[in-house]
Amino acid sequence: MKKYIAKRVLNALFVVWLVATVVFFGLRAIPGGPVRTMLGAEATEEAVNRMRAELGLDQPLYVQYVEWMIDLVTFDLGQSLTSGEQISVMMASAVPRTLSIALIGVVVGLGIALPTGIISATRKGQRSDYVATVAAFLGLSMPAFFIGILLALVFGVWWGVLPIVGYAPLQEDGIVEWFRRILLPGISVGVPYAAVVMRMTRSSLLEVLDAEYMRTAKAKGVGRTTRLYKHAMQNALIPVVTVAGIQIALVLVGSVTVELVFGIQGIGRLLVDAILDRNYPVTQAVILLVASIMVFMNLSVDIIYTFLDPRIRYGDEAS
Amino acid sequence: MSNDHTTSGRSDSDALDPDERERIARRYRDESPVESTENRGVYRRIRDQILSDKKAIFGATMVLLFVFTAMFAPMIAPYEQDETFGINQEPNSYSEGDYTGNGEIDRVWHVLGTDSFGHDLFTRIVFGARISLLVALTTVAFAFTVGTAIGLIAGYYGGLIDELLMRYVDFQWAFPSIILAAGLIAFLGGLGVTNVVIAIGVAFIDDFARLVRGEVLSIREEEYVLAARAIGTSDRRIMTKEILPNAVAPIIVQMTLMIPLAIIAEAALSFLGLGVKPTTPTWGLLLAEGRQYINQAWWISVFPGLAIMVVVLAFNMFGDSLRDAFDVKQSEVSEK
Amino acid sequence: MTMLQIENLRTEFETPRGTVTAVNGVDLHIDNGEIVGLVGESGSGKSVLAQSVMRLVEDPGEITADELLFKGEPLLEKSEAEMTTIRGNEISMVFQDPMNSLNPTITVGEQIAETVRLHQDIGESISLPAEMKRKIIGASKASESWRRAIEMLESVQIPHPESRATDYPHEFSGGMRQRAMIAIALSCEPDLLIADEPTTALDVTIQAQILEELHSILEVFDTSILLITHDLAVVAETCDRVNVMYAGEMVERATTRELFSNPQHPYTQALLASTPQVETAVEELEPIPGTVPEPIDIPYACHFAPRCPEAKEECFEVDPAFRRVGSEDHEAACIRREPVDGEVIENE
Repeated sequence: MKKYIAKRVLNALFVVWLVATVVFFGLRAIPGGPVRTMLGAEATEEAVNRMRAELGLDQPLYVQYVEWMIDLVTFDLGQSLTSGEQISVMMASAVPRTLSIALIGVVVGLGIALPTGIISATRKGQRSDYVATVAAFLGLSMPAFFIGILLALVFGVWWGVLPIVGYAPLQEDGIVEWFRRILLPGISVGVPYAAVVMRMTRSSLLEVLDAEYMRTAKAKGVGRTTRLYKHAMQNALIPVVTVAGIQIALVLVGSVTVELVFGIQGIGRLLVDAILDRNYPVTQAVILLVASIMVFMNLSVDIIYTFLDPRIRYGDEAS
Repeated sequence: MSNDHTTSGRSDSDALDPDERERIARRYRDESPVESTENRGVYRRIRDQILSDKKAIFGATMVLLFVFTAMFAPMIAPYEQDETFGINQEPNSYSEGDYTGNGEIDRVWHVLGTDSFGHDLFTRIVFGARISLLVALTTVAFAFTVGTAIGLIAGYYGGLIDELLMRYVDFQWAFPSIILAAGLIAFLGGLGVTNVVIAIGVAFIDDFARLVRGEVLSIREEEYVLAARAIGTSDRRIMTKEILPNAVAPIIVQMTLMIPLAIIAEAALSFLGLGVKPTTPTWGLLLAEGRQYINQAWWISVFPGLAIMVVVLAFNMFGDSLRDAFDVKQSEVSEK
Repeated sequence: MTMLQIENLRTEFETPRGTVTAVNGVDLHIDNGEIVGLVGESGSGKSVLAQSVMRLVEDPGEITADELLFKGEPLLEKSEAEMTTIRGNEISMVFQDPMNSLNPTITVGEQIAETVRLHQDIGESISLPAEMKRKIIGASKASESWRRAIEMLESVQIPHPESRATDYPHEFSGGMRQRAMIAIALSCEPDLLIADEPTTALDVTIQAQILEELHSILEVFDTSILLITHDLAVVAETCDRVNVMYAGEMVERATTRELFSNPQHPYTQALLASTPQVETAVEELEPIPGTVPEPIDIPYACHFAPRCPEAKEECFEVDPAFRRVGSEDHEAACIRREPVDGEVIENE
């Protein structure tokens, strides 16, 4: 088991390194060069050279690469080209916002998905299954930013019960204000996530309920509820955990657009602004951050797996 | 009555011979109300299943309507896509002004209202279907071509090639599709349909690669493939003639389910301002504009949003029914 | 005393393509301490019959019977809660596929211990929270149920039962898993054990061991056994009486000795002719032409008629009632056989 986890961690680190390297070379491979693209065609040769020196682009490639790696390990992400602010400082303000949205999204999502998935599977073909399945289809079909706009319209514009612009930091404004501002964005990203996880829960549980070992449990005289929770659930959760983990991507993607809807300066907003301003240092820092979060999520899924599936716990991955 | 069981009955003069037996049995079967299912072909079964599935019929109808709208947008839309009238007009209202330039006051009806530039919203939405369809089809075609090639080669050859290609797929997995697409837009530098297609298309490659590789790995060891290899069929021929046709069902399902994802991705990029040029009529841009005017004109965002929802829902329903009909597992194809 | 008495049992499944009558008016009885065989090709409905006895048939399955008596009590009139106390306790079952019949996420020991706890009053809670706790942090090794689980593993010849009990099913070999299944089934000393193809998925040598196991069970636990198989050799070795099933219907029943020496129903005869025996050369084996019909509204009277070498037109029209065709309650359902006592047994 330790060996398995160690292997996964190494693999994760490898992917992060790979992403960092690709981002490094990607930036330098931009057609026409990043500095020229940034400053525009009419910039003087002198200005271009000054900027290149400022960014360290005038040094040999291998020196740049080593420096880039050292910077990453020491979390020195450089400065924003537009504001001159330290990128790590910008991140420190943006990341909690995005994570708050994502947190509410995942909590809301799982809170809806798991119970509905279970109800839907155990009452297959009944009215409640039908309603849940249709609702999941609708949730799957609405982009997070559209849900956000609808929520803003209903709760903000028409009913006026919740604010629809801006964020309130937890430490400064307290949990109530934080929650009031983060609830609608959180639900917006949580609904599509709930739909995907619910569908997986339903189909996975249905498959498990049909398994021969469930018949064995019934033949042993195990009651219905114990069959469901003790015998079926863990087996059914194995694929659900994969989907729930990987689909955190859906929450992050949703967050990027939803931050725009609710005027929140999270990492999504940071990324979009950086791309539009051709602010390459910020762009590469955000992309690297998101990729690292994803790699970390995948790693978590792998580790949760070892607790759910005894076949992996004992080292053979032959499933 | 004979007790010798190996021969008993055969000598019996009144026993029927096998042909007669079959004839009588068939006569009985023909009278029975249930038709024999043995001879029905697999395609007929799939067709029948889809036709009997309300979800599939609804999905297919809406998909056709969407394609039809996109194709004949100029004929369906009441006005030119760039024509402007009164701004932020409510649904079911009229603009008054000299829009034809003949010196007379025209009264122009807006079924869904107008946007903040004075474009007729219904017209913009109808033209927006074109971008959605175009981007969806080309991105999925692009991702399918590249992803299938990668998956085929990786799965078929295995070893180092597989290791390398799958590392790439792992790497791509680290990027949520929109983030990767946004990064690619930054790299490609500039807005426009081509860049959007490349960006989303690349972001979807891994789904096809992973799927096809999995199929290849399971099919590769099947006897007919081993047989083909044994008689010296070329690798390329085995891949395209033996393996690929047998992986068709999950690939078709995957494509059907990727189209709505591409539509959402395009809308998201446009919404972020990273998609097509701002003057192009697209649903994503209308939503972004609608967000700005949320206090004055709810319809600018709600109607395009509903358009996205209905089209995506239609594709999802159709794809889901296809998956049931083809008997492809939910875990086999990915939904991002 | 009669352990199990079944009369005119039907199990039907409502499907979009029509009503599947998997079991179509079957009679069967098992006496105390008997091993009774149930033989038929795959698709003959024998597994559904077995599951119908324990009422394990899931929706949309529908079981009806004139009589389904277990130790004189009508099982079809029991509530689901009452059935839960009977299943695994008084009637238990061993399934065909030991690979998939054990839960992959629960230790083998816990899967046995759970059964003990459920049915025997040993003062251990079986509430959901208690069971979930056991599942998550493992059952107490000091508990009575765990001790019994180890005993059971030992009695089915699992080596090192203490350490093996903490293993997961995937760490067991196929034969060991089937032994574990038997241990689960016997843990509460049931009165009736239904073994559904218990040896089919196993190697021949393991098969013999498992059969021996079943024999010794009978002696130790005084359990009646219903042995379901398509393998006539297994029946010949193990059973006291045999019932032959075809396409949802019973076609012949007799003592094992009588059936093998004097098979009467053409289907039984064909089945025997298609089964290798030590003295037959492979060339002499005669496969039965055709396949078992799908049990959806089979339109002709004798279900075997289309494959039967003795069939005549009448066979398609007249229901083949059971008749005595030999000694010791030897009965067959075939109109081509003259009843030895001149009487046709009315059923239905």
